[in-house]
Amino acid sequence: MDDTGRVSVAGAGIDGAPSVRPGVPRERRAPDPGAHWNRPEQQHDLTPLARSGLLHATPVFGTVAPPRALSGAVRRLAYRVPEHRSTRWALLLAGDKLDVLEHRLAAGVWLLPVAVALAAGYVGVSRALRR
Amino acid sequence: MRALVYEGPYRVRVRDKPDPRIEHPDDVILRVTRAAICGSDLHLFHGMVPDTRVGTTFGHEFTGVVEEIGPSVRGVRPGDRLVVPFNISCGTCFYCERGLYGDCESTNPMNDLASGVFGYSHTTGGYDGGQAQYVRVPFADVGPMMIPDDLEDEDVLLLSDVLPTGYQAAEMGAIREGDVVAVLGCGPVGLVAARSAWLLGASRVVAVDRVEARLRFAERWAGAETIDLRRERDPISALKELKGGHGPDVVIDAVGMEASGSAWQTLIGRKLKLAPGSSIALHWAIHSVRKGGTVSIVGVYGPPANLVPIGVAMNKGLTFRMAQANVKRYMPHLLEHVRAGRLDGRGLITHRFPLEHAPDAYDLFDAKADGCVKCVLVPNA
Ligand SMILES: NC(=O)c1ccc[n+]([C@@H]2O[C@H](COP(=O)([O-])OP(=O)(O)OC[C@H]3O[C@@H](n4cnc5c(N)ncnc54)[C@H](O)[C@@H]3O)[C@@H](O)[C@H]2O)c1
Ligand SMILES: [Zn+2]
Ligand SMILES: [Zn+2]
Repeated sequence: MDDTGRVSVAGAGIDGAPSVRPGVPRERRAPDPGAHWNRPEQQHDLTPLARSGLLHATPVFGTVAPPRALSGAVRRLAYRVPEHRSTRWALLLAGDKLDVLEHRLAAGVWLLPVAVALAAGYVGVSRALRR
Repeated sequence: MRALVYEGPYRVRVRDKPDPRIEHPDDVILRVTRAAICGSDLHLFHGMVPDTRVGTTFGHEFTGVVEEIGPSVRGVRPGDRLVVPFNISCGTCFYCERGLYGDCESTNPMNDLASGVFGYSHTTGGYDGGQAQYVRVPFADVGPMMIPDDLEDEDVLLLSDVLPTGYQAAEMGAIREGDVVAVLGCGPVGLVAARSAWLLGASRVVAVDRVEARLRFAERWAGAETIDLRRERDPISALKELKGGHGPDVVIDAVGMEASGSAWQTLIGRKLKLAPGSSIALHWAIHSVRKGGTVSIVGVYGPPANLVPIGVAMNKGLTFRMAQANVKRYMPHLLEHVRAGRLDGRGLITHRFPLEHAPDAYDLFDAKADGCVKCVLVPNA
């Protein structure tokens, strides 16, 4: 603090008046200057899961990871449960766990032929030795 | 392109991935120049956010150069430098019209919680984020801000999230001249909230954390007094003492669902996941703020429900304000503060990594090691 009692942080108090604060009042009524459409066209690919309780998908959404495999089934099921129910969120978390597991398993699939070859080799060698 | 890819809790890798495409006439494709890692990304990284899908790319704080534009885009051209708000907003819906960009209802089909957000799970729309060489930016005429020629990308990078979020946190406190303001959390968001509290007229600003380097940052960068949780065993009493036993006029929660400081909250919310994380910071805010005071929440909490002492809040007559920041609304005003040196966003950046080292960057930022405050990835170095 300086001797006037004001804190010497650059700009202290500069936004003190509510009228200069960008978020006051909380809800303003002015159309966005950048926006130039009424209702945007629907994004072409309609794969997302419809929002429960609402009639249609939003015009724009992400399409990066459509639900697939068992985790996908669990996620689809989750979105059938209204969002105010804990079940929706518990199912989504379960779907996340399955998703990780599925990817780990898929990543490990190449191990399968190796394991089979090793096992076959072991059986072959032990037979040969027994003779 | 190369992109950060989520592979499961505590596991991100940089891999090849198809380039993003224009999918809607109002999209642009951005070549990313800088992409920051946020405290919110840690919630994803820890597997705390429902519907975080393997293979998706995080990153909601980025700048870049326009590479390609959709047929309806008018205000943006290839070659333009943009800083992009983390919220994806249409500009025309019920909410956008009211300036509530974080509540846009045209960009998230999954639920009625929030707008679409870049790189933030399918719970916020399932968009890929900017921790990659390229990113698809929908509604490019609405959200993004052109970077002025005299400023570098890093000067304005944090206008994408942290500066507006921290400022809005303080603004939602409805700070009046002379107020005492406490900020829980000295991550990038808390630091900006503390600095902004001064701009809004606070007479005393106190910041709370347990990380040495961040407490020093709060003193230096935000001009705040500090309470060190490693030494203070009873933070509520320490905060209450601030105003002759009343408590601060405003307490800001800039911590969110991964707060430390309570064994049972950590067990139930973070380990067993019976609740969506720990709400201990919120408990402290409610108990320490003075009667009739305001609690402002920007720390992220998730669905479905946390246990919070609502009865204490009710009896004390508290006001709650909270939000996903309405970034776009704050950008022009905060750009002036950045220019004048009143909010030095660049000064918060302590670490830079090439995109290829993103997993190390996550580990470092997560551990809050090496004095790390804000970590930035450079995708097209
Ligand atoms: N509402 C929004 O629009 C918005 C935007 C960005 C970030 N966020 C959220 O804000 C929060 C902070 O973000 P950040 O980037 O600064 O994160 P961060 O992880 O870098 O910082 C959080 C800080 O809180 C400290 N902390 C932990 N427990 C605490 C406690 N009980 N009391 C006080 N401090 C405690 C940690 O030591 C850490 O320094 C996160 O929850 C993030 O998701 C919200
Ligand atoms: Zn962020
Ligand atoms: Zn909108």
